[in-house]
Amino acid sequence: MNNDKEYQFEQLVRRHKRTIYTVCYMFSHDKAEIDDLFQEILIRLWKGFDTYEGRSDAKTWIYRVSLNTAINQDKKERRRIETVPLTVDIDPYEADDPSTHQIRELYDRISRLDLIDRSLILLWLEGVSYDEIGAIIGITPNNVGVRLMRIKDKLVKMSTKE
Amino acid sequence: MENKNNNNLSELDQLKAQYETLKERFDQQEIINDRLLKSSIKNSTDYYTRYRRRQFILYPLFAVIGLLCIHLFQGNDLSIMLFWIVFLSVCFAIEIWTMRKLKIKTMENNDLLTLSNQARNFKKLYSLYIAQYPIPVFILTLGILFANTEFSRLPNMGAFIISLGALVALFVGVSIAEFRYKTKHCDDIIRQIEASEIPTDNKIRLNRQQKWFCIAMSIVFLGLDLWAFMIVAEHAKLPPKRPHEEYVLEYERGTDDFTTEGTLEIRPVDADTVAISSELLGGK
Repeated sequence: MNNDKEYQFEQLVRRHKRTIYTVCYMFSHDKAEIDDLFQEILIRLWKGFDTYEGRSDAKTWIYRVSLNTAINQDKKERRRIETVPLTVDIDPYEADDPSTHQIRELYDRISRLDLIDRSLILLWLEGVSYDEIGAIIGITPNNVGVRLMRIKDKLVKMSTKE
Repeated sequence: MENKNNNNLSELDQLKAQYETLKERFDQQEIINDRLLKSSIKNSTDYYTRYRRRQFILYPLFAVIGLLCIHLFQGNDLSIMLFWIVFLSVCFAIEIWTMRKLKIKTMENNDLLTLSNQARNFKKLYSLYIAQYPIPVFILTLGILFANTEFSRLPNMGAFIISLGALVALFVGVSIAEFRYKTKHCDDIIRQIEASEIPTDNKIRLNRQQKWFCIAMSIVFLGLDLWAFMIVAEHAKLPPKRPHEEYVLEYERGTDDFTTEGTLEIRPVDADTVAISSELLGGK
Protein backbone atom coordinates (compact mmCIF):
# COMPACT_ATOMS: atom_id res chain seq x y z
CA MET A 1 0.00 0.00 0.00
CA ASN A 2 2.75 2.39 1.06
CA ASN A 3 4.88 1.31 -1.89
CA ASP A 4 1.96 2.01 -4.19
CA LYS A 5 1.65 5.50 -2.71
CA GLU A 6 5.37 6.08 -3.12
CA TYR A 7 5.16 4.90 -6.72
CA GLN A 8 2.26 7.27 -7.48
CA PHE A 9 4.13 10.13 -5.86
CA GLU A 10 7.25 9.34 -7.84
CA GLN A 11 5.29 9.32 -11.10
CA LEU A 12 3.63 12.63 -10.27
CA VAL A 13 6.92 14.28 -9.37
CA ARG A 14 8.64 12.95 -12.49
CA ARG A 15 5.79 14.32 -14.64
CA HIS A 16 6.11 17.78 -13.09
CA LYS A 17 9.85 17.90 -12.41
CA ARG A 18 10.34 20.79 -14.82
CA THR A 19 7.63 22.90 -13.14
CA ILE A 20 9.30 22.45 -9.76
CA TYR A 21 12.76 23.06 -11.16
CA THR A 22 11.65 26.27 -12.90
CA VAL A 23 10.24 27.64 -9.64
CA CYS A 24 13.44 26.70 -7.82
CA TYR A 25 15.57 28.35 -10.50
CA MET A 26 13.58 31.60 -10.50
CA PHE A 27 13.68 31.85 -6.69
CA SER A 28 17.33 30.93 -6.13
CA HIS A 29 20.72 32.50 -6.62
CA ASP A 30 22.95 29.49 -7.25
CA LYS A 31 22.84 25.76 -7.93
CA ALA A 32 23.21 24.80 -4.28
CA GLU A 33 20.19 26.91 -3.42
CA ILE A 34 18.19 25.20 -6.19
CA ASP A 35 19.10 21.78 -4.75
CA ASP A 36 18.03 22.84 -1.26
CA LEU A 37 14.76 24.38 -2.38
CA PHE A 38 13.94 21.46 -4.69
CA GLN A 39 14.33 19.00 -1.86
CA GLU A 40 12.28 21.13 0.52
CA ILE A 41 9.47 21.29 -2.06
CA LEU A 42 9.59 17.50 -2.53
CA ILE A 43 9.34 17.05 1.22
CA ARG A 44 6.30 19.33 1.40
CA LEU A 45 4.68 17.63 -1.59
CA TRP A 46 5.18 14.21 -0.02
CA LYS A 47 3.76 15.37 3.31
CA GLY A 48 0.74 16.85 1.57
CA PHE A 49 0.27 13.99 -0.87
CA ASP A 50 -2.43 12.39 1.30
CA THR A 51 -4.50 15.55 1.43
CA TYR A 52 -4.08 16.14 -2.31
CA GLU A 53 -4.97 12.71 -3.78
CA GLY A 54 -6.43 14.18 -6.95
CA ARG A 55 -8.68 16.72 -5.22
CA SER A 56 -7.47 19.50 -7.48
CA ASP A 57 -5.49 19.76 -10.68
CA ALA A 58 -2.02 18.32 -10.06
CA LYS A 59 -0.25 21.19 -11.76
CA THR A 60 -2.11 23.82 -9.70
CA TRP A 61 -1.36 21.93 -6.49
CA ILE A 62 2.32 21.56 -7.36
CA TYR A 63 2.59 25.23 -8.25
CA ARG A 64 0.85 26.22 -5.04
CA VAL A 65 3.15 24.15 -2.83
CA SER A 66 6.28 25.12 -4.78
CA LEU A 67 5.57 28.85 -4.74
CA ASN A 68 4.45 28.82 -1.09
CA THR A 69 7.65 27.00 -0.16
CA ALA A 70 9.86 29.28 -2.26
CA ILE A 71 8.37 32.41 -0.73
CA ASN A 72 7.82 31.24 2.82
CA GLN A 73 10.71 28.98 3.55
CA ASP A 74 13.41 30.45 5.70
CA LYS A 75 16.65 30.18 3.73
CA LYS A 76 18.76 29.71 6.84
CA GLU A 77 16.52 26.85 7.92
CA ARG A 78 16.63 25.31 4.47
CA ARG A 79 20.43 25.17 4.61
CA ARG A 80 20.28 22.88 7.63
CA ILE A 81 18.74 20.02 5.68
CA GLU A 82 21.08 17.43 4.26
CA THR A 83 20.57 17.89 0.54
CA VAL A 84 20.86 15.32 -2.22
CA PRO A 85 22.18 16.99 -5.40
CA LEU A 86 19.91 17.06 -8.45
CA THR A 87 20.80 15.30 -11.68
CA VAL A 88 21.25 18.34 -13.91
CA ASP A 89 24.12 18.77 -16.33
CA ILE A 90 23.60 22.43 -17.18
CA ASP A 91 24.34 25.44 -15.05
CA PRO A 92 21.53 27.85 -15.88
CA TYR A 93 23.46 30.63 -14.16
CA GLU A 94 26.42 30.23 -16.50
CA ALA A 95 25.61 31.20 -20.09
CA ASP A 96 27.97 29.07 -22.17
CA ASP A 97 25.74 28.51 -25.22
CA PRO A 98 22.99 30.54 -26.97
CA SER A 99 20.05 28.73 -25.35
CA THR A 100 21.49 29.00 -21.84
CA HIS A 101 22.16 32.66 -22.60
CA GLN A 102 18.42 33.06 -23.37
CA ILE A 103 17.52 31.36 -20.10
CA ARG A 104 19.94 33.57 -18.22
CA GLU A 105 18.41 36.67 -19.79
CA LEU A 106 14.95 35.57 -18.74
CA TYR A 107 16.21 34.93 -15.22
CA ASP A 108 17.88 38.35 -15.03
CA ARG A 109 14.61 40.07 -15.86
CA ILE A 110 12.30 38.00 -13.72
CA SER A 111 14.57 37.93 -10.68
CA ARG A 112 14.37 41.73 -10.49
CA LEU A 113 10.66 41.50 -9.71
CA ASP A 114 9.43 41.02 -6.16
CA LEU A 115 8.49 37.48 -5.14
CA ILE A 116 4.75 37.80 -5.72
CA ASP A 117 5.18 39.40 -9.14
CA ARG A 118 7.70 36.69 -9.96
CA SER A 119 5.09 34.05 -9.08
CA LEU A 120 2.44 35.78 -11.20
CA ILE A 121 4.59 36.09 -14.31
CA LEU A 122 5.79 32.50 -14.00
CA LEU A 123 2.22 31.25 -13.87
CA TRP A 124 1.30 33.45 -16.83
CA LEU A 125 4.26 32.21 -18.86
CA GLU A 126 3.25 28.66 -18.01
CA GLY A 127 -0.18 29.37 -19.47
CA VAL A 128 -2.14 28.97 -16.24
CA SER A 129 -5.60 30.59 -16.44
CA TYR A 130 -6.37 33.82 -14.55
CA ASP A 131 -8.84 31.92 -12.35
CA GLU A 132 -6.19 29.41 -11.34
CA ILE A 133 -3.56 32.11 -10.79
CA GLY A 134 -6.06 33.93 -8.58
CA ALA A 135 -6.66 30.76 -6.58
CA ILE A 136 -2.94 30.19 -6.09
CA ILE A 137 -2.07 33.76 -5.11
CA GLY A 138 -5.32 34.60 -3.33
CA ILE A 139 -6.61 37.45 -5.50
CA THR A 140 -9.52 37.84 -7.92
CA PRO A 141 -9.05 36.99 -11.63
CA ASN A 142 -9.66 40.68 -12.47
CA ASN A 143 -6.88 41.66 -10.11
CA VAL A 144 -4.63 39.08 -11.77
CA GLY A 145 -5.22 40.82 -15.11
CA VAL A 146 -4.41 44.26 -13.69
CA ARG A 147 -1.30 42.98 -11.91
CA LEU A 148 -0.05 41.19 -15.01
CA MET A 149 -0.43 44.34 -17.10
CA ARG A 150 1.73 46.24 -14.62
CA ILE A 151 4.32 43.49 -14.48
CA LYS A 152 4.55 43.34 -18.26
CA ASP A 153 5.07 47.13 -18.30
CA LYS A 154 7.82 46.75 -15.71
CA LEU A 155 9.53 44.06 -17.77
CA VAL A 156 9.35 46.13 -20.93
CA LYS A 157 10.79 49.16 -19.09
CA MET A 158 13.61 46.98 -17.81
CA SER A 159 14.61 45.94 -21.31
CA THR A 160 14.37 49.50 -22.71
CA LYS A 161 16.65 50.73 -19.90
CA GLU A 162 19.17 48.05 -20.81
CA MET B 1 0.91 54.54 -29.30
CA GLU B 2 0.72 51.75 -31.82
CA ASN B 3 4.49 51.65 -31.89
CA LYS B 4 4.62 51.33 -28.11
CA ASN B 5 2.11 48.48 -28.17
CA ASN B 6 4.09 46.72 -30.87
CA ASN B 7 7.23 47.17 -28.80
CA ASN B 8 5.51 45.70 -25.73
CA LEU B 9 4.23 42.77 -27.73
CA SER B 10 7.63 41.98 -29.16
CA GLU B 11 9.19 42.21 -25.68
CA LEU B 12 6.60 39.82 -24.29
CA ASP B 13 6.97 37.53 -27.26
CA GLN B 14 10.68 37.49 -26.59
CA LEU B 15 9.96 36.66 -22.97
CA LYS B 16 7.70 33.80 -24.00
CA ALA B 17 10.28 32.54 -26.46
CA GLN B 18 12.91 32.57 -23.71
CA TYR B 19 10.53 30.66 -21.45
CA GLU B 20 9.98 28.06 -24.17
CA THR B 21 13.76 27.63 -24.43
CA LEU B 22 13.93 27.19 -20.68
CA LYS B 23 11.17 24.55 -20.80
CA GLU B 24 12.94 22.64 -23.58
CA ARG B 25 16.29 22.71 -21.79
CA PHE B 26 14.84 21.69 -18.45
CA ASP B 27 12.66 18.97 -20.03
CA GLN B 28 15.81 17.35 -21.40
CA GLN B 29 17.31 17.13 -17.92
CA GLU B 30 16.80 14.12 -15.73
CA ILE B 31 16.68 16.35 -12.59
CA ILE B 32 15.21 13.74 -10.24
CA ASN B 33 17.12 10.71 -9.07
CA ASP B 34 16.06 7.81 -6.89
CA ARG B 35 18.30 8.88 -4.03
CA LEU B 36 16.67 12.30 -3.93
CA LEU B 37 13.16 10.84 -3.91
CA LYS B 38 13.97 8.30 -1.21
CA SER B 39 15.67 10.94 0.89
CA SER B 40 12.68 13.31 0.60
CA ILE B 41 10.21 10.59 1.55
CA LYS B 42 12.35 9.31 4.41
CA ASN B 43 13.45 12.61 5.90
CA SER B 44 10.25 14.53 5.54
CA THR B 45 10.83 16.76 8.51
CA ASP B 46 9.58 20.25 8.03
CA TYR B 47 10.55 23.42 9.86
CA TYR B 48 7.79 22.94 12.42
CA THR B 49 8.97 19.44 13.31
CA ARG B 50 12.57 20.61 13.64
CA TYR B 51 11.47 23.53 15.78
CA ARG B 52 9.42 21.22 18.03
CA ARG B 53 12.35 18.84 18.42
CA ARG B 54 14.58 21.74 19.42
CA GLN B 55 12.04 22.89 22.01
CA PHE B 56 11.86 19.35 23.42
CA ILE B 57 15.59 19.57 24.08
CA LEU B 58 15.80 23.20 25.17
CA TYR B 59 12.98 23.27 27.71
CA PRO B 60 14.17 20.34 29.85
CA LEU B 61 17.60 21.98 29.71
CA PHE B 62 16.14 25.29 30.97
CA ALA B 63 14.32 23.34 33.68
CA VAL B 64 17.49 21.66 34.92
CA ILE B 65 19.58 24.86 34.82
CA GLY B 66 16.83 26.79 36.61
CA LEU B 67 16.42 24.13 39.30
CA LEU B 68 20.18 24.05 39.86
CA CYS B 69 20.28 27.84 40.25
CA ILE B 70 17.36 27.74 42.69
CA HIS B 71 19.10 25.01 44.67
CA LEU B 72 22.35 27.00 44.77
CA PHE B 73 20.86 30.32 45.81
CA GLN B 74 17.72 29.36 47.69
CA GLY B 75 18.30 25.79 48.84
CA ASN B 76 15.56 23.25 48.24
CA ASP B 77 12.79 25.82 48.02
CA LEU B 78 9.88 23.74 46.74
CA SER B 79 7.56 26.66 46.05
CA ILE B 80 10.05 28.34 43.69
CA MET B 81 10.97 25.03 42.07
CA LEU B 82 7.31 24.21 41.43
CA PHE B 83 6.75 27.72 40.08
CA TRP B 84 9.67 27.30 37.67
CA ILE B 85 8.38 23.97 36.35
CA VAL B 86 4.83 25.30 35.87
CA PHE B 87 6.15 28.47 34.23
CA LEU B 88 8.27 26.51 31.74
CA SER B 89 5.41 24.12 30.98
CA VAL B 90 3.14 27.07 30.17
CA CYS B 91 5.79 28.67 27.92
CA PHE B 92 6.43 25.37 26.16
CA ALA B 93 2.73 24.79 25.48
CA ILE B 94 2.29 28.32 24.14
CA GLU B 95 5.33 28.14 21.86
CA ILE B 96 4.23 24.84 20.37
CA TRP B 97 0.67 26.06 19.88
CA THR B 98 1.66 29.31 18.20
CA MET B 99 4.14 27.54 15.93
CA ARG B 100 1.39 25.17 14.82
CA LYS B 101 -0.20 28.17 13.17
CA LEU B 102 2.53 28.08 10.56
CA LYS B 103 2.60 24.34 10.20
CA ILE B 104 2.89 22.32 7.05
CA LYS B 105 -0.76 21.69 6.11
CA THR B 106 -1.44 25.39 5.62
CA MET B 107 1.36 25.46 3.07
CA GLU B 108 -0.37 22.96 0.82
CA ASN B 109 -3.91 24.15 1.00
CA ASN B 110 -3.73 27.91 1.25
CA ASP B 111 -2.97 30.65 -1.18
CA LEU B 112 -0.19 33.17 -0.63
CA LEU B 113 -2.41 35.87 0.83
CA THR B 114 -3.91 33.51 3.38
CA LEU B 115 -0.40 32.49 4.33
CA SER B 116 0.63 36.10 4.82
CA ASN B 117 -2.43 36.66 7.02
CA GLN B 118 -1.41 33.64 9.04
CA ALA B 119 2.04 35.14 9.41
CA ARG B 120 0.44 38.32 10.78
CA ASN B 121 -1.66 36.30 13.20
CA PHE B 122 1.39 34.38 14.36
CA LYS B 123 3.25 37.64 14.94
CA LYS B 124 0.35 39.06 16.91
CA LEU B 125 0.05 35.95 19.11
CA TYR B 126 3.79 35.75 19.61
CA SER B 127 4.16 39.43 20.53
CA LEU B 128 1.42 39.03 23.11
CA TYR B 129 3.32 36.08 24.57
CA ILE B 130 6.69 37.85 24.55
CA ALA B 131 5.15 40.87 26.31
CA GLN B 132 3.74 38.73 29.11
CA TYR B 133 6.10 35.88 29.79
CA PRO B 134 9.01 37.77 31.43
CA ILE B 135 6.79 39.48 34.03
CA PRO B 136 6.34 36.59 36.50
CA VAL B 137 10.05 35.76 36.29
CA PHE B 138 10.88 39.43 36.92
CA ILE B 139 8.59 39.60 39.92
CA LEU B 140 10.02 36.43 41.41
CA THR B 141 13.71 37.13 40.72
CA LEU B 142 13.69 40.74 41.81
CA GLY B 143 11.36 40.07 44.75
CA ILE B 144 13.51 37.26 46.13
CA LEU B 145 16.64 39.32 45.55
CA PHE B 146 15.19 42.24 47.52
CA ALA B 147 13.87 39.95 50.25
CA ASN B 148 17.31 38.38 50.68
CA THR B 149 19.30 41.59 50.61
CA GLU B 150 20.03 43.66 53.65
CA PHE B 151 20.48 47.08 52.18
CA SER B 152 21.99 48.52 55.31
CA ARG B 153 24.93 46.14 54.89
CA LEU B 154 25.51 46.73 51.23
CA PRO B 155 28.96 48.20 50.78
CA ASN B 156 28.03 49.93 47.55
CA MET B 157 24.36 50.65 46.97
CA GLY B 158 25.07 52.37 43.63
CA ALA B 159 26.83 49.32 42.22
CA PHE B 160 23.94 47.12 43.38
CA ILE B 161 21.35 49.29 41.64
CA ILE B 162 23.47 49.37 38.46
CA SER B 163 23.84 45.55 38.50
CA LEU B 164 20.11 45.18 38.99
CA GLY B 165 19.42 47.56 36.12
CA ALA B 166 21.86 45.65 33.93
CA LEU B 167 20.09 42.38 34.78
CA VAL B 168 16.70 43.82 33.85
CA ALA B 169 18.13 45.35 30.65
CA LEU B 170 19.69 42.01 29.73
CA PHE B 171 16.40 40.19 30.20
CA VAL B 172 14.47 42.77 28.18
CA GLY B 173 17.20 42.71 25.50
CA VAL B 174 17.10 38.92 25.23
CA SER B 175 13.28 38.97 24.97
CA ILE B 176 13.34 41.59 22.20
CA ALA B 177 16.10 39.73 20.33
CA GLU B 178 14.13 36.48 20.61
CA PHE B 179 11.00 38.20 19.33
CA ARG B 180 12.84 39.76 16.40
CA TYR B 181 14.50 36.45 15.53
CA LYS B 182 11.28 34.47 15.58
CA THR B 183 9.15 37.02 13.75
CA LYS B 184 11.76 38.15 11.23
CA HIS B 185 10.71 35.50 8.77
CA CYS B 186 7.03 36.47 9.19
CA ASP B 187 8.00 40.09 8.58
CA ASP B 188 9.72 39.06 5.36
CA ILE B 189 6.57 37.33 4.11
CA ILE B 190 4.35 40.27 5.11
CA ARG B 191 6.76 42.74 3.47
CA GLN B 192 6.71 40.73 0.25
CA ILE B 193 2.93 40.87 0.09
CA GLU B 194 2.84 44.57 0.95
CA ALA B 195 5.58 45.39 -1.58
CA SER B 196 3.59 43.69 -4.29
CA GLU B 197 0.72 46.17 -3.68
CA ILE B 198 -1.80 43.36 -3.72
CA PRO B 199 -4.86 44.54 -1.79
CA THR B 200 -4.68 42.84 1.59
CA ASP B 201 -6.72 43.00 4.70
CA ASN B 202 -4.23 44.87 6.83
CA LYS B 203 -6.32 44.52 9.95
CA ILE B 204 -5.31 41.44 11.88
CA ARG B 205 -8.33 39.22 12.28
CA LEU B 206 -7.84 36.48 14.81
CA ASN B 207 -10.24 33.60 14.51
CA ARG B 208 -12.39 32.48 17.42
CA GLN B 209 -9.91 29.84 18.57
CA GLN B 210 -7.04 32.35 18.50
CA LYS B 211 -9.07 34.91 20.44
CA TRP B 212 -9.81 32.36 23.15
CA PHE B 213 -6.16 31.42 23.16
CA CYS B 214 -5.16 35.07 23.76
CA ILE B 215 -7.64 35.40 26.65
CA ALA B 216 -6.54 32.10 28.20
CA MET B 217 -2.87 33.03 27.85
CA SER B 218 -3.40 36.40 29.54
CA ILE B 219 -5.31 34.77 32.41
CA VAL B 220 -2.61 32.12 32.88
CA PHE B 221 0.17 34.73 32.94
CA LEU B 222 -1.84 36.91 35.34
CA GLY B 223 -2.14 33.84 37.57
CA LEU B 224 1.60 33.28 37.36
CA ASP B 225 2.22 36.95 38.24
CA LEU B 226 0.03 36.59 41.33
CA TRP B 227 1.69 33.33 42.29
CA ALA B 228 5.11 34.99 41.98
CA PHE B 229 3.91 37.84 44.23
CA MET B 230 2.70 35.35 46.81
CA ILE B 231 6.03 33.52 46.83
CA VAL B 232 7.88 36.82 47.25
CA ALA B 233 5.53 37.91 50.05
CA GLU B 234 6.10 34.59 51.81
CA HIS B 235 9.86 35.00 51.55
CA ALA B 236 9.78 38.60 52.74
CA LYS B 237 8.24 37.41 56.04
CA LEU B 238 11.01 34.92 56.71
CA PRO B 239 14.41 35.86 58.02
CA PRO B 240 16.92 35.73 55.19
CA LYS B 241 18.66 32.41 54.85
CA ARG B 242 22.39 32.10 54.86
CA PRO B 243 24.39 28.99 54.25
CA HIS B 244 25.64 27.39 57.45
CA GLU B 245 29.34 27.86 57.26
CA GLU B 246 31.86 28.19 59.95
CA TYR B 247 34.12 31.19 59.89
CA VAL B 248 37.00 31.03 62.28
CA LEU B 249 39.23 34.01 62.55
CA GLU B 250 42.54 33.91 64.19
CA TYR B 251 42.54 36.75 66.62
CA GLU B 252 45.81 38.11 67.74
CA ARG B 253 45.70 40.10 70.89
CA GLY B 254 46.95 43.63 70.57
CA THR B 255 49.40 45.09 73.06
CA ASP B 256 46.73 47.32 74.59
CA ASP B 257 44.03 44.62 74.68
CA PHE B 258 43.61 43.28 78.20
CA THR B 259 40.17 41.73 77.68
CA THR B 260 40.88 38.19 76.55
CA GLU B 261 43.29 35.76 74.98
CA GLY B 262 43.08 33.15 72.18
CA THR B 263 40.89 32.77 69.04
CA LEU B 264 37.83 34.70 68.08
CA GLU B 265 35.20 32.50 66.47
CA ILE B 266 32.35 34.00 64.47
CA ARG B 267 29.41 31.77 63.57
CA PRO B 268 26.80 33.11 61.15
CA VAL B 269 23.37 31.74 62.08
CA ASP B 270 19.94 31.93 60.45
CA ALA B 271 18.97 35.24 62.01
CA ASP B 272 22.32 36.65 61.05
CA THR B 273 23.28 37.00 64.64
CA VAL B 274 26.92 36.90 65.27
CA ALA B 275 27.56 34.64 68.15
CA ILE B 276 30.82 34.98 69.86
CA SER B 277 31.72 31.94 71.80
CA SER B 278 31.51 32.82 75.42
CA GLU B 279 34.05 30.16 76.18
CA LEU B 280 36.59 31.94 74.05
CA LEU B 281 35.77 35.17 75.81
CA GLY B 282 36.43 33.46 79.08
CA GLY B 283 32.76 33.26 80.03
CA LYS B 284 32.25 37.04 79.90
